[in-house]
Amino acid sequence: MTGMKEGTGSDPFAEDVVEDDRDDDREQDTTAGDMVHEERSETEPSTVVRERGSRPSKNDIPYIFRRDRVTDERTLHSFYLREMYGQIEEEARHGVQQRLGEQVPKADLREAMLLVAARDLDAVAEELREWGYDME
Amino acid sequence: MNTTMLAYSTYSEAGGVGKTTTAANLAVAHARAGLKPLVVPLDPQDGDLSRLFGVDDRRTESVDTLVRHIIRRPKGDFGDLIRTVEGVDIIPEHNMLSDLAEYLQREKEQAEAMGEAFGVHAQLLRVLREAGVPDEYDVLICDPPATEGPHLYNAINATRSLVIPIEPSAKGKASIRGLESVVGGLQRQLDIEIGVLAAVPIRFKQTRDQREMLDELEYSAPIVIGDRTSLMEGCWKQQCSAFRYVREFRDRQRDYEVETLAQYDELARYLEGQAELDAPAPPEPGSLEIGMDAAAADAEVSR
Repeated sequence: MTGMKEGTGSDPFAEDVVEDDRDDDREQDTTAGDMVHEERSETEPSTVVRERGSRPSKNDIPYIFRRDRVTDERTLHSFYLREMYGQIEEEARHGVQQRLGEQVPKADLREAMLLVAARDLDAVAEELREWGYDME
Repeated sequence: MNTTMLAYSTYSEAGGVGKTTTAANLAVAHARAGLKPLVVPLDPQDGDLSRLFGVDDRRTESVDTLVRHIIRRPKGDFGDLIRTVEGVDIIPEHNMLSDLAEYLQREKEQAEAMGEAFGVHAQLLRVLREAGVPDEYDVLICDPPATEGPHLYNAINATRSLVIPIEPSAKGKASIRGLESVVGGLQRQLDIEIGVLAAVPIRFKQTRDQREMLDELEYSAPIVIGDRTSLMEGCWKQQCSAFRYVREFRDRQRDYEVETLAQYDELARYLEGQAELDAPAPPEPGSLEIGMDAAAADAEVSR
């Protein structure tokens, strides 16, 4: 049996994203004859880039502004979670949204909560101990 | 913030499984929650979603049709194809759909004679894209016929995600295997990725065989709908969704029918969640208070 993927398929209405790299290459080509810039670029790459006025690379743009939709750069994961998860997430989301003064999609909230938790593994281990891990 | 559109096709290989009623009730469930759904039924046969919603009165007339847009011969604006019922926008089916394969083939030959490319399975997607559907709508539901052909392929290509109503039986299992081969072929041919959002077991009667089949189901099944033959027959007879039928045509409410409505609401929320779509006003599942306004609005515009 072939077996189909669970969850969403590819986005039929996604625009074909053209990477910025090509534009940058072209800009570099037009200035390649300028030896002064070429030499300086070896020693002070960052300032030269600014002087040339080239756009910031895609990775300099904060994540939520460089994507077209929430699902960009993301793949679907299915989890089994206990009932309480939904409520706790909803409360956390509400609190975060109040602090930020704007809507936060669940996918962003979940990832941010994961990242924060990953920075405090002692707290995570403590929680799991309460669940019964590490019992003698 | 970013908006996203949930798009799916309802698919079942076997007929009479409840594919069309599932599509229709899900569409109303999305609309009840404050989302804007567009339903594109593509069944060339009578007894389809357009008839269920009572918008099939012009299927034999010489009017502008989706098929004309698909073969690049529109007679009017895309927006003029749309009828609104119970808060749901629908592009009614037309008898021209019976000859879709032939129309597409002819258009492809003409295009190729002119040195153009014409993807016969990408035309619905093109029409929806050009009409700005992803900007205009929150949910796109295609309801193609089960048989393999341009209707099914165009629908799957335009949505990429599937909801599979299935009768828990040996026949149902065979139909999922059939779908897997269709989907596999289509993924390779069109170089797209197709996903299954949910299987929806329908007419579940609690037999041992059925329970075994559910256990073996490889796709998530957020709800299991019981045998609701009487409710579904009522919908076809009154030409409306199950929500409207229970609200307006049942003299007394049956708990198990309200429970079924609640399940459609829950399934709609589940599907929205898969696309990271947040319904602005999700009702209490199964609540019959919602949708009165939409019904009243329909009465005003119905011709």
